[in-house]
Amino acid sequence: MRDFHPWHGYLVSSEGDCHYICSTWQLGEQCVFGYDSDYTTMAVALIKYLSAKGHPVVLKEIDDKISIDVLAASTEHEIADSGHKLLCNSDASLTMFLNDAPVVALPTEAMMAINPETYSKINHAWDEESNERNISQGAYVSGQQYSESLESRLSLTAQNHNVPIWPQRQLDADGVVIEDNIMRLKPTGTVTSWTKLSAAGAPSEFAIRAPILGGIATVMVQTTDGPNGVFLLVDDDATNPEIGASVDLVVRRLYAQEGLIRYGLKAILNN
Amino acid sequence: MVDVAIVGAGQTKYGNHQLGMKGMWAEAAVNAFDSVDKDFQPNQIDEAYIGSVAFGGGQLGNTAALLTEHTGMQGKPVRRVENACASSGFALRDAWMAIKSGQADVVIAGGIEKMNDLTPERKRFWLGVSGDTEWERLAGLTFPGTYALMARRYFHEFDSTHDDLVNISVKNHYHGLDNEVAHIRKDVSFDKAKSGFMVADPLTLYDCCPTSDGASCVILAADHVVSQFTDDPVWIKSSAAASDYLALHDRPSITQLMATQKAAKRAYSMASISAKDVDIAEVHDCFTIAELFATEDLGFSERGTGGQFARENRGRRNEGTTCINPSGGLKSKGHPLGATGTGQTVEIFKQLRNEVESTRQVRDANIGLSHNVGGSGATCSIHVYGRDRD
Repeated sequence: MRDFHPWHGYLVSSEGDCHYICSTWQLGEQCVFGYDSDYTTMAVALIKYLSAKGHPVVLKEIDDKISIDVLAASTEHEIADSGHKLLCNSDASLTMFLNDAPVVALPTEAMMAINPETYSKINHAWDEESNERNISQGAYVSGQQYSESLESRLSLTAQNHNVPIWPQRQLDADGVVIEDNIMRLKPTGTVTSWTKLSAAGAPSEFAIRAPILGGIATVMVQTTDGPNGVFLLVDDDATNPEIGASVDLVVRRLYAQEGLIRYGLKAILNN
Repeated sequence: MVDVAIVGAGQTKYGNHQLGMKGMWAEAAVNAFDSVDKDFQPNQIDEAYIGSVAFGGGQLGNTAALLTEHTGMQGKPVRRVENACASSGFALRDAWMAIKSGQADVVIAGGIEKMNDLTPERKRFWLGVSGDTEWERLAGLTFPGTYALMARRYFHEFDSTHDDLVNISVKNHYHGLDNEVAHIRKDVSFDKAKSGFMVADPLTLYDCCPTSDGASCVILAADHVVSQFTDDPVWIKSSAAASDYLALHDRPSITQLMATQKAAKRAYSMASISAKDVDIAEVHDCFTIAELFATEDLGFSERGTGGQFARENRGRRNEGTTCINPSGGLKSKGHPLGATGTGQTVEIFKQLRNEVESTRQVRDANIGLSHNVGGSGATCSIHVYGRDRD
């Protein structure tokens, strides 16, 4: 029996050259994704887990269900001719291995039953949202604008300008050009304020899923390194935050528009 | 330097308007023209500045040219001014500067917004377009959300609770009850306002202004031509403005609006007055927490005591030293984004000339102030008005 560790809202097991990550949710016997997770967000979490444990990640093969762009912007890993394969399983799990894919038993005792009705509605909502004909009718973050800030958004790349500057900008408040002295903020912080928006108060990008989720929650976070940011809470945690609560910032799906899923950091409360 | 007076002011009723952009603007402009005491013709206007967010995107380009050609100003130099909800506050400032510079003698400042002809789906896309879209919107925030974050933090830092915001809502609905141009004219009890539908925790429906259609228009004149139009002008004693970081997360504090504080300091200095001299103030209460901030940032109460100011009803008509939002404010009168700033000026003009409905006239008002904020505080314009020129 493998040991599993909670990590970024998932369960991770790492033994020798074989690493495995799965969702914490079950539908019957099947391991299924949480409301804003997919193979890409779990791949990011697994690589971040290994990096945090001091294991450099070298990949020779990445499953095409995983977004290479998001993985590159979120994690530090190498692509080489020899290395691990990162493959998606038939359920909501991923395996990273060197030679033969191992068979891993689900840690069912640590998993939770998902609401079948909500799960079904959310998946239909994502399908609808991801349709290329789902286009903006007003406020708009273009694909180009999203891509431009992707690394800053996903891995908190900041500028070291005596104090960390995040999100990055060209000039400081005194009009001095900020050099690209890049640093990465720790993806941790403290809640300084929060709100939960009703479905009616949420932006249009979330209009399809917010009613199913009963609204969406946003926290203002002071990161451990200093800069502030605003982040959604992960969709599958209904806990109300408190000012002073500590959070980890993890990669999740934000919304989809014009056929493109937008990823970003969301906050997950440390209980 | 030349002094600037208001010689006429008018607006439409705010609310779900049956007229389109051209019709609403014409109504506001004609009301302004008709309010001039002596003979006035639109061809006497030298310049026009019209604030609008162009909500819905229907007439984003050349809005001002389209509207003015329908109101007797064809051929005049005109432009749209956009600074989110502070668009016409800045249009007023631009008009004031045009006269101050000596380039014009008679200038129109106005604003317009058509918000309720959109489908609910399209309207949602346009709400919140004035925040830092790339970062705030992708974190699920439109303005109810940003102001909710500010409110919760304020309650954490200071001696205040949501009940203080309820008091503001009740007061503004009371002020707007008899205002014939107000969008929502109903008396709201404390218990009703307290138990409103939660929009963005901790803000309820009764903390949020409505989305309104409307237009407003004021006519400014240089001191040497004022007597052609009226013997009873309202003088603009000062105009000031400032800006701040657009995104909340870039600001050192989210429990105060620095743009308001900077603009207020300049406005009071230029007018040679202090906050205690202000008899009536139209402040930007897009959310009740915004009015609480305004009472502090404008100096009507000390920092951290805005809740107490509201609790003690010190902004209520003819009860405190300064009547806050005699029109009902954005909460009751309504908030047609681009029209709001000059709509505030219309109210001050009429209050100072004792021309509002008798039941809501503020007694002995000589000094007025309007405070118009863009978005969550990135832009702010403040004007001080007086019956006396000096």
